Amino acid sequence: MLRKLIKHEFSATGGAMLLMFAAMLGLAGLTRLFIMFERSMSLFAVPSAISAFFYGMLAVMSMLLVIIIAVRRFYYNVYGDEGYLTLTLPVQRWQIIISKLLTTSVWLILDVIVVLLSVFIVTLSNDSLYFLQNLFAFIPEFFSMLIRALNMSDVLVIVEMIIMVLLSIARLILTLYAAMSIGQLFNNHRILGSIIGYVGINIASNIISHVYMATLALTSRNINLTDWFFGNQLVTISGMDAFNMQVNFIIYMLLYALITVGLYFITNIIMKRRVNLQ
Amino acid sequence: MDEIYNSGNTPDPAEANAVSTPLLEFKRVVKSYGAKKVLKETSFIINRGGIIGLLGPNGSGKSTIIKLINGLLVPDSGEILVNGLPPSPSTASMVSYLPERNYLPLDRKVSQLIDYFADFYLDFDRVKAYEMLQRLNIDKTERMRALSKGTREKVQLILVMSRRAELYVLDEPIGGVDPAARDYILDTILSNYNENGSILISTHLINDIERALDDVIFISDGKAALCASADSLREKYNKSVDELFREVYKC
Repeated sequence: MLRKLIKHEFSATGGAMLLMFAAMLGLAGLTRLFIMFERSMSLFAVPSAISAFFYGMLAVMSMLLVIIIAVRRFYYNVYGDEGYLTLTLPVQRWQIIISKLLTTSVWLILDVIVVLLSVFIVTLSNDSLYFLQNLFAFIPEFFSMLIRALNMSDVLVIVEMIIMVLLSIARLILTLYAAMSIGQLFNNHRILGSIIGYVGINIASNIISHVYMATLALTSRNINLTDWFFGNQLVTISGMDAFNMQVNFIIYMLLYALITVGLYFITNIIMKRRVNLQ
Repeated sequence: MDEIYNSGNTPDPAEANAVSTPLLEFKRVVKSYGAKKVLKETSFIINRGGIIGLLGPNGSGKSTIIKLINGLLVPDSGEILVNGLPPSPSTASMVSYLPERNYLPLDRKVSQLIDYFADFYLDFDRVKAYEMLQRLNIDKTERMRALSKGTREKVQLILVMSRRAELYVLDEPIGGVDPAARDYILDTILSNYNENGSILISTHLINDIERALDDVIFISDGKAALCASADSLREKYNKSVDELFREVYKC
């Protein structure tokens, strides 16, 4: 059932997403062409500027557009009229949530890839290729150096980074889902309720994070409290050894995961027991 | 008029050979929206093999009952049992529900919706669905938003009735349909349902639907006020169910 839901999610959102990706790549290509022509005919200065402008706008806004499409999909399909269809399917609520979460995550990741690809298209040249070659050689080396200097295992750090990226994506999406679920508890002010829910969730998450940071600061032997309070974070970190830092980061990751899972449960409970379709 | 108000179904002797677990049972269900109590210990039983009318004025709790059957609402207290089970994904596969509103995605083609239903509901009969579409001259390659409102409602009905479900729950199935199509819709309902199951029709257009009903449940003041076979009502009170309804609910 989960697979079927995912299939239909992609089918329902695919049109808009692929259109946006095509537009981005198309505009990137167009801009590139105009720039190339501009070299021989200065006539192309204006079109290339216009094309570059629209391409730039689209690239910058693309992530926001993906989010908007995903939010509208979730809201109308679950709490709007289509909810009468979705919520009476022979599927569990968690399958509905997870299928939408996975699909949106894939679109977000694809979006990043397409943006990078489009930048590559616009700037393709011998110089940029050379730059990229050096970049791909330099970055891993830089990170390895940094990691070893701090006495950490590079594999672990890479794994942690990947996990954090995935968790961040999940948390971003689940915050929106939970906010919409909270919103639909307010019968006549659903959109206002969603906004309140969104703000409330962010405030609550931040409080939790900062309480953790404060506890960390207060209990660590190497912390100078005045430095921490006045935001001198660098002093804070350099006072710890690598193992300490590693443990703290893992605990932070667990906390982050906990918040993410909490948001999932809020969404699940409301969808199960407190739905009120109009 | 006091004698009307008794809860509990009076099943036909002919239905006595039905399975012992009732198809649908409401046990003292209470549901409030905020301060307003809509269902006050509503109880009734529906057995298999019949067409039951769920009748009552607007605001009497019909929609609430229907949402409760489908798991779209959770009762404050009391139990709802579909084939002995509380509403869940497994009961959803036994219940075919036609909501009152336009609930199908407008950007999909009719053929895509048929694929969708066939994908999720194992009891969906594609052949029957395409047959009915053809008889009504509905083009399966059209998108829902290109169809008229009446045609959309027919598509919704066809999809719901093409399932071989145990309980069909139809909320105002002929409400927005033109009078000419109403007879066809009723015939579709009567001839296409799974005989081992039951159809629960919630409507205020009793006149049109009366001839099809085996049993009726009147909802009044948050309770199932009258559950009886339509024939026995007509005999007892010497009126059509429609007239009886108007009398009971005189505004």
